Amino acid sequence: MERAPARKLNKGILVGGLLVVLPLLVLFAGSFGKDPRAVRSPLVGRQAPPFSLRTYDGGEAISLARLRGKPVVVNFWATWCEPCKAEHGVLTRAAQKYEGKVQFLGIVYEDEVPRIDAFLKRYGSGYPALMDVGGKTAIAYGVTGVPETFFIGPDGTVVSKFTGPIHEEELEARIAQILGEAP
Amino acid sequence: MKRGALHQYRRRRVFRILLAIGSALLLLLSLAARAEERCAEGEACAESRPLDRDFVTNLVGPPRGRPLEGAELAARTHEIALRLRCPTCQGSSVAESPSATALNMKREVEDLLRAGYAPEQIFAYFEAAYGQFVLLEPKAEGFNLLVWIGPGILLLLGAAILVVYLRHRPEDEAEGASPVPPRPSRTALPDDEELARWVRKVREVAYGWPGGEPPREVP
Repeated sequence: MERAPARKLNKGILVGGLLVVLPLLVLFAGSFGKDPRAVRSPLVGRQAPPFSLRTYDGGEAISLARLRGKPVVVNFWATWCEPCKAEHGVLTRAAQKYEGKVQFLGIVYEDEVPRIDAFLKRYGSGYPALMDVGGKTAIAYGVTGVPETFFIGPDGTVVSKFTGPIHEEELEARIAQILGEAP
Repeated sequence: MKRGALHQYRRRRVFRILLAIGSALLLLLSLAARAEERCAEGEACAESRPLDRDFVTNLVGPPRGRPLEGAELAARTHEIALRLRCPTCQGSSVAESPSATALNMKREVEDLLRAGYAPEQIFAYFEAAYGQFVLLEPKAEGFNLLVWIGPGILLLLGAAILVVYLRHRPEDEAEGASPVPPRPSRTALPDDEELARWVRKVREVAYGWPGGEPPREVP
């Protein structure tokens, strides 16, 4: 019984194939575990887009320009967003803790007043909830979903952006950053 | 004759009354439709705020186009919306998505065109907020160049490999006919006895090996 002769390895094809496949493998491997939608906000380091929005209950308009000189935390949220419920308590407690030092603002994203009212009655309200009618402010901030939280320094510059439900340690660290207390 | 004229007068009167009722109904219907278009009380709907021109101009400069209206505005809005990614959808454009975010973005495009901003300025405005992610056609610069020239490079590479292969192909393969008789197969016989018998017969006929057994090679 004879064995079939072993095929000769074509080094040219091997090298060419590796040249094409290896860079692709490196590219894909580098992207593993990363959220393709988590794009760094181009707003970071720039002046925060201005807005003047009324509170959901028809109260007076709150203007970002008038808050100049004070760090501001702007949180985009909605009553239909489950992670927003999870972070609501964290933000409310922080708003109480930093009262007078940091201004917290909630901008409601694609929602209705009765729902907002019911939500805030149930989970508590620690800072103004503003209505973004027509979504112009959400567009100016490049909001791709809720919750998203922007940290604005006293000079009106966007210091950082956090996507998703924020937890206490992260919030504390970012507030320290806009207060100029970060290590 | 007199009776005929009276009858005609009555018919005209009835017709006028019916026309008035019809017009009133139409008016009422259109008013109702317009009221429905507005937001229900307390609802965050399509009622739009005016464009913050100072903010937009700070970002992309003063309007470089001409203010659009009517059908041209609608057509250009759709054209631009087709090239913007809906940020809350899975790979669809602002023009194709029925989501509230996409509708708001479309309205923003419309406002910007109405204010006279050029398409490049509108893309720059959205890019300033969302980054290049929002552009469905990535810019041909930096790492993105790979997307634009990569397919061309791969095509050229493929063509080069094909040319090299065809040039170095052995002549017998290239011509399709073999002037040299094929080398007899010396591979092992199949395990199946019946099949092995037939293979031996074929070898005997084809190669002239007695009993279908290959002759021993002389070292």
